[in-house]
Amino acid sequence: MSIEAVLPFFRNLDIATLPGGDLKWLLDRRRAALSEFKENGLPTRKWEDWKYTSLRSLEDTDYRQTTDCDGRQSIESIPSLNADSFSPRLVFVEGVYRPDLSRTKGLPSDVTLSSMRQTLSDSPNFLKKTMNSLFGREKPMFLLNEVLMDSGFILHVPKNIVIKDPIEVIHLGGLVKEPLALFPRNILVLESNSNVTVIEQFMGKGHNPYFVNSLTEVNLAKNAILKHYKIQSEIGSGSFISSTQVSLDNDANYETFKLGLGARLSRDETEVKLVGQGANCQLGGAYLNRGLQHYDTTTSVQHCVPNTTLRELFKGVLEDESKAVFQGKIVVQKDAQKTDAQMTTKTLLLSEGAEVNSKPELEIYADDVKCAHGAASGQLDEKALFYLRSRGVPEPLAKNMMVQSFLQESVDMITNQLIKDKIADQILHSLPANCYLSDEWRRG
Amino acid sequence: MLELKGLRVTVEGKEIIKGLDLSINPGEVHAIMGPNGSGKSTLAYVLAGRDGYEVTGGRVIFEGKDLTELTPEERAAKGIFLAFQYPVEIPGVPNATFLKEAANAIRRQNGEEELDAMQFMKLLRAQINELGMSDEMLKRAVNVGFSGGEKKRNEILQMAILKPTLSIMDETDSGLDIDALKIVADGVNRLRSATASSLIITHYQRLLDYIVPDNVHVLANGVIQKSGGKELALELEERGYAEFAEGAV
Repeated sequence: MSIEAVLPFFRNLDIATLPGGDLKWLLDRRRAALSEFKENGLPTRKWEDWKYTSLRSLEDTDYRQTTDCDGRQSIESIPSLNADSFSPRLVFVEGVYRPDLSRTKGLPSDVTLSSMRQTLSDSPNFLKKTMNSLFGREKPMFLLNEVLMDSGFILHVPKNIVIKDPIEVIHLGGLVKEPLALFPRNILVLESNSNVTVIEQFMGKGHNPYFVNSLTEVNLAKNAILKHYKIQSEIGSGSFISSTQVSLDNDANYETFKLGLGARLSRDETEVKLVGQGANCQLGGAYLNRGLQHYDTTTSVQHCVPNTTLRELFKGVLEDESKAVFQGKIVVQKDAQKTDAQMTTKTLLLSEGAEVNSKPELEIYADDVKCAHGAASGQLDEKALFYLRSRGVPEPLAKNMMVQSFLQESVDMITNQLIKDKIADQILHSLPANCYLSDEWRRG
Repeated sequence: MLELKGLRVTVEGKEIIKGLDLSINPGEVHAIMGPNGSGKSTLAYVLAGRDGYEVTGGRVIFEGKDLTELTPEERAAKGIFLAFQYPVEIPGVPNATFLKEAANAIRRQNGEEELDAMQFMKLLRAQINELGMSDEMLKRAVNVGFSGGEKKRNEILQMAILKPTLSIMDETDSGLDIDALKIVADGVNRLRSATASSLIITHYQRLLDYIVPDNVHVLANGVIQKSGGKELALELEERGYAEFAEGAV
């Protein structure tokens, strides 16, 4: 698949016009990535990693890259996550940072929370040092982001700093009529003993198609804690490819949860390297898809040193003719003794046309490890449904209760109560609305 | 209250109930006894409206109306309650929440005002005390990790909250020790009134020591073979079901 066919602006791309065009090192990186990317182009289903997810549907639309102008949409107020506090937040409209809707006051003065563009002009050396410092970039969607990166945010937390309120990063898209392509690059660097919670929300507000290819790099130093949550409720015509790379030093903790509700095509890829002893990683997620939605979760976790743990659970519900993919890889390197890793995925299929492909992969080179994985898919338990109905619970409500309770197991992994409630609430509101569920239901 | 006339029921293409007549008046307790495979549980499921239990002939009239076209939830709203032989586990749904949803769903269907959390908890507390259940059982997911006796007690709790006019006990006594049996029987007896009826489905007579029926029927090979008063249960206990076995019909 040629890139020009998918992204016509690629044909006469002048990368010097992209943000940071005055930085030679950045231009060099973009150029290098471009030539590397062009060798193979976009992945096709012939690629092992992309066997179950096709990017063909991108060809139906002529995308163009976003401009400052696209970000000047008038937006009514965006409700705060926590009504009691003014938690810090960044708001992006069509990828363009909107200081008028954002709040960065109140953070400790040595914490950096800013847009990628701002950081490119304020502290390019920080980016030069931190970008691409963790992983190889041979993957095509990483390379594409490297070439075209035009937005995103930077969070740098110096050592020993604890930020209690979750930092919200809100992305609004789909407001501009012409189809836009966005390439956010996010960099989160947490120095030793720091502790931060970040919640990213991707909300499609309009009805226009767009394409997001984001890359997030997370570097956690010794004993740093990052809780990193994502809610993706893009509109039906959005296509959303998101990659996250995480590196954990000694005793660092990374907890993530991904809620996938929207988008026509979605692929969420997470790569984790546990490079310090005692590091813990928790990957969780829930998705609820219907219609013709396609939702791909791909994870790869490398245990490089002894005594690291992984807890991974993704649960999804598929209706109509929606499809899901789960590719989960665990690599335990030779020295990584006492690795304790668990990976599970469960899917509930609500219709005959729904489909899930699960591919767990374990590569274990150490001999003293605990590694478990499981994948299951099934339909609603007819007996349980009858049991609920025989107690007077109408069928749609009974189904909702069962779907909600199915997803709850993964939602319960979230250790931030505020966000756990928020995500449970989002699930509740995405269930068919023709029935009633009382508010305290989810709190039990 | 309940009138079955020439009822025929097919499950997965096989006729299980083959022309059954039964009439229950308000306030009566009827026991249906019979050997395994006689169609007892099929009768319970068909009254509660389970999918796959197809009425192929006869009539099911409940309080003057045809029941066969109604969904399970509509039947529940009309006052039919089935206590399951094997109550289903529903992970992730807290027991108290389930009970409240059920109670309010029935109230909504009947055009009554819903109970708020406070009102409901008051009602619930009163009932769990009577049943000797712990608060902890309300917090746990529906029937998950419950012992056999706890599951049955939970059925009785649901019945006490929903206050049906016709309660159907499907082999509720199976696998219960004598204490649990008494609790189940007490639960049924407490609901007895001039307007509320019960249908007790059982293989053994012993439950009927505690719930004294007005009528006893022997169901075998898909039809009622014999009806009588409470003394019929004792006869069956003594002589068994041999005379109603397939060959004897």
